[in-house]
Amino acid sequence: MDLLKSALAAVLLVGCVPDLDSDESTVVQARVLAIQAEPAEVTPNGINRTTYRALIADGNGVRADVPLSWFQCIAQKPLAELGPVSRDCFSTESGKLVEFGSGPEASGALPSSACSLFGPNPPLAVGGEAPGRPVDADQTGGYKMPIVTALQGEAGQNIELYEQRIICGLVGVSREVSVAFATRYHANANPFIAELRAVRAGGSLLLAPDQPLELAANEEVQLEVLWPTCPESDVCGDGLCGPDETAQACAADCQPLRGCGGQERYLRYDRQESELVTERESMRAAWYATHGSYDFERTGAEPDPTIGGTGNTFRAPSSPVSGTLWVVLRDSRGGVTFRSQPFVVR
Amino acid sequence: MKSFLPFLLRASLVWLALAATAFAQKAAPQLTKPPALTKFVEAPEPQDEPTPAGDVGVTLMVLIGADGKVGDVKVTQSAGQTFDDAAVAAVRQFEFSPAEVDNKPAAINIEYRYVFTIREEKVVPTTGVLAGIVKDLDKKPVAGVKVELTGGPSTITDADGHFRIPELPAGKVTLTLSGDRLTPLQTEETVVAGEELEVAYKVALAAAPGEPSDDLEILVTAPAALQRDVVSTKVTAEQARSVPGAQGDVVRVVESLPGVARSALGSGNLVVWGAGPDDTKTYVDGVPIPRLYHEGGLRSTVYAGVVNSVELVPGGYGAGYGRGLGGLLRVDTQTPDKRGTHGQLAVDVFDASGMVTQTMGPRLRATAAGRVSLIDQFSKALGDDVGEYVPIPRYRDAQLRASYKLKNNDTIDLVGMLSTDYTARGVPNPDPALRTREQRDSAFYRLYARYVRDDGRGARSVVTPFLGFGTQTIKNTYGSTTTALSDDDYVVGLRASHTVRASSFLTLEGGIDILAEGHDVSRRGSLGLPAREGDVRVFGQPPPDTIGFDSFKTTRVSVAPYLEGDFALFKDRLHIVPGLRVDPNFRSVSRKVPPVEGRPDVGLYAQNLAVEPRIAIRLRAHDKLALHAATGIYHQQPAVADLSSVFGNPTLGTSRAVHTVLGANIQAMEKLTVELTGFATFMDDLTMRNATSAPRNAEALLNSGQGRTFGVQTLVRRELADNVFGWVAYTLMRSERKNDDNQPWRLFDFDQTHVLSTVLVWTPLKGFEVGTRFRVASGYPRTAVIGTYYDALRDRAQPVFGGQNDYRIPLFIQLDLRASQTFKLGDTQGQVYLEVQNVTNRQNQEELVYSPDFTRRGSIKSLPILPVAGLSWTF
Repeated sequence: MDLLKSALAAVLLVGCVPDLDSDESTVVQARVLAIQAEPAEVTPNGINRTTYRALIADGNGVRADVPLSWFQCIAQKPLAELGPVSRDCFSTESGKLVEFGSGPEASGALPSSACSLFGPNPPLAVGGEAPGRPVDADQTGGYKMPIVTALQGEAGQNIELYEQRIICGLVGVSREVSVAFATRYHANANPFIAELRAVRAGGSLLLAPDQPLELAANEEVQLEVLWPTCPESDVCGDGLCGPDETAQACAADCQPLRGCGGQERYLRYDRQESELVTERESMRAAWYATHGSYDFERTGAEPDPTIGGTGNTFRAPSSPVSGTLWVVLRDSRGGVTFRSQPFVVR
Repeated sequence: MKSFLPFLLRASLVWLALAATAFAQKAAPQLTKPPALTKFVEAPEPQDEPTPAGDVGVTLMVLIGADGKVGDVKVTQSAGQTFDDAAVAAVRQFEFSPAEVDNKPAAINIEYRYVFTIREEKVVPTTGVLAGIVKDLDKKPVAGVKVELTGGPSTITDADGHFRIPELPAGKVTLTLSGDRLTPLQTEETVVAGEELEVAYKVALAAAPGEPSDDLEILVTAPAALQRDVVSTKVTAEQARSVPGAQGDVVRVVESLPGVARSALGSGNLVVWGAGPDDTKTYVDGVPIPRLYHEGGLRSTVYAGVVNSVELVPGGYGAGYGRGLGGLLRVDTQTPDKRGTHGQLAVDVFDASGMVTQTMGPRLRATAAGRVSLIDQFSKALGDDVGEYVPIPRYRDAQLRASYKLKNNDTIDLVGMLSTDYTARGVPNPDPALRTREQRDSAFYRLYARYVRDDGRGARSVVTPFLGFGTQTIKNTYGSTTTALSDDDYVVGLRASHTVRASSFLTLEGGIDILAEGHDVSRRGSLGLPAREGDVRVFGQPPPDTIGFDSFKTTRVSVAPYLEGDFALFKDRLHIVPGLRVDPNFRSVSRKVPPVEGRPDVGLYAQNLAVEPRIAIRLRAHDKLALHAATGIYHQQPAVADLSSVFGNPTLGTSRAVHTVLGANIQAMEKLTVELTGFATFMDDLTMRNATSAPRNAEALLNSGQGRTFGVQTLVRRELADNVFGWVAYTLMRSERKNDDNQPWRLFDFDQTHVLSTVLVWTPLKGFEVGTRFRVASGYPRTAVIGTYYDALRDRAQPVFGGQNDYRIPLFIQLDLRASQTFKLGDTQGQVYLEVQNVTNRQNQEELVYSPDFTRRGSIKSLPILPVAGLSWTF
């Protein structure tokens, strides 16, 4: 039957696809595994500051001493370029990079022009010309400003891109919709790792960051990362601010804003149906380790209130070693969190 | 072959049971004298019935009157409608001596068996005969004139000017008359199976050496075909069916014609002389169809059994056609011309198909044909998971045709055709962000009538009104990014032309080409998907995750009159064919700017006048050498999806191209021609993405692009002779594009420097045929990845590109073989074929792919050695 399937695949013109898989989970040389912005979503006004934290690691574990430079990129992406941001964001000669810090952490305020450059607010028409084209929102209805880092590792310079989610409001909608969105849309909060567990035949072990996970050589262990489950509906007073609540109607939950930390519900304007719709975030987990291997490099969860975690099988190396594994959680609105876990193979 | 046993009344005269019974039971009345046959009339043997040798009997109940005359005749045991009718008609003319009952003449019923004796097997003819005479202007027979059929046999007129060519396949044939004092003339005739077509040609001869030259003009009473295209390749259906690689699909022979780039695996793209896949237009009997191939490029959308010929004009075509920057593909179809009921059933690994043709009287015939894919059924049998990964093509197509012959040279055809496609595939992944799904669903329908009037003296009228509908939906999901494009359209049009021989040296054709189309378009997703020519990307790259939405309607009307003349000068050695096509077109788009909630849509109305002068020149410099040149201006409206105010630009104008062609045609041997053609195409106002970093609203696309193509095309073609035909086609070409004035010239995404295609088909034994196709083609240019950066938001590597299209996929080389055997199955015919594609199992590269971190590059390989078998039954 396999032969028949292969023959059919050939007939169906898929040709032969080469095996070009690369091992992205094994950390050897210094590289950035994740960048987290706090807050995860911000109104760009030149005042509100955001703190960025990079998770840098190599084969020895987390590295805080590798030189890392931080830049804001103010280059608007031409429509003819299909990458996530303008090519000018990777050229120091473009004049579009503004350095704002160095080291594993940096903070800066996004320029107030961000919603014009990267959002729905095009510059006003001048001299009778047609107005500029607004940037399309992403699938979650959000807009993002590029942040670029340059990591100076032993093997050379690595470039990383992060995009900071920005709050710009809605353009091209009625005033009622605009107001409803402004009051009911709540800025994204970074996800929160509630638990990291190792499940063995003998039972489940709750992992602590300061407590190495002890493994036998070649042992396979199921790692599970859990996040808080978020409610399906909003109830004022539950401590969480959802899309059906506003700061005026439920100050207890929304002032200050308190996110769920899991797969949050959020408001999105659907241009096809011309209405506000409530969505739920999906969640992805990226798995890394200095030694050993995983079944999957990435796992994740579809938008589902009943799913509170995801798992992966980690296979310990065959020889005794002390190492580190990491899990990075990303929600679909750009929120990030990560966790390092030491392990020892006896 | 056929005979009849005259007057063999082996039929027994059996008295009617009723009369006999009555006679026996009642003892009176009594038959005192049986009737006796005094006059026998022979029934003509039916000609249209395929019948094995032996007796064929029709049993009849015959009422004989008291006067011996035949009254009512009824069939009690049939031998088929045509035999029954013939027998009844003959028996009605019989005469008998009256029967006597009780010694008095009386009416009586008898049972009579009429027997036809077929001594030899009778086969319905499939060929006809073309015979005639060639005379000069003084009505004297002309001997020594060569009468040659294009792609077929030839003969020489005898001393009485007569010629006769037997066993010609039924249908249209093109023949050329040539001789020492006769400049070659070309005309068309229609051969009917089983019939002999008598023609008479009157020609004017050049003055013989030493004679006064007072008669320099050539006159032929047969219609002179107006040949407006100086470079075209036409292949008859019969030959195309034998070309390896096409699995008998006549239209797919296009892939092997000169000037056609090899299309990427499974794409079915038709890239001709460096024009984009959508720039070469396909017409079936003059009616535009939106797609030539089904999804995956496995099959054409026109059933092979109704195709008469396929003609590719890569550029420099005449004023009769327009609305395209590239080439022209004309598929000429016909209703099969066989008497009685005939048909064909065929099956191979891809699909099953069938066709049935029925004649209804001498003037009307009809055909129904259909095809359904089987490959999706195979995939179901193998399990659902195959369909998860592989785009299983599911397609259907059908044609219904009726042809009515109004007069000898007037015909009207009514044709309906449909084509549907569906494919879907996806790649599951434990990470929802990496799950992909693609679904394509499309269909088109066409209904047209085609009226052809040919007065036999050079005047010809063709009128083709048509209408159609279509729908197309494409959905792509990459993680949470979903893109969708749907387009529902209708099309109404009319193509009409009239050709007249205005004088002995001038043939004129005037016509009008009207097309009105409406589209209802909805699009959601990223600007980057579907990808466009000129996009810098790699295969499989996730689309941008920004999402837009637009829905709009557009109506386009184009009314293009044209006039073309063929000036035949210097004893028909020089033909100058100037033409002018004027194409005023109008367009409305329901949205000029992106939708804003609460505000009414503002529409757009635009008009444009495209003036397209064209000229072609053909010079027969020598009996064996002809030179040709052509140039012309061509326009093309923007693609409908590009008129979106969100994803495109509703104000896009028409793109323009100038074709220039210069070449020679050498008759190297009697059956061997060599064509050499140089070509250059210049294009401007091409639709490109807006390259500015701050584009204005509703201007995602601009008419900023330019293009240029230069090349040389050669074709060495051997016409069918000694059971061999074939060709060698080679094209050397460079095609470039420029996105806007600020960008440098770059290679066109579909540029192929070298394209070599060799086809050779041989019939060593009757019914057995072998063929080979050998292709060599440069790979498409691609933009290589020279670096990478980590996208920490999306958690994946992103490519950094080098120079646009600076890398070329390695050379494609492939050898295909085909063998077929035709055999008789009683009165019918069967055929079995085996094609082996990529006989050498060469690992050709089709497309570049990269590892997820872009540090390693590989390629998708083409098909390995692939045998495909099929069989058909023709009755």
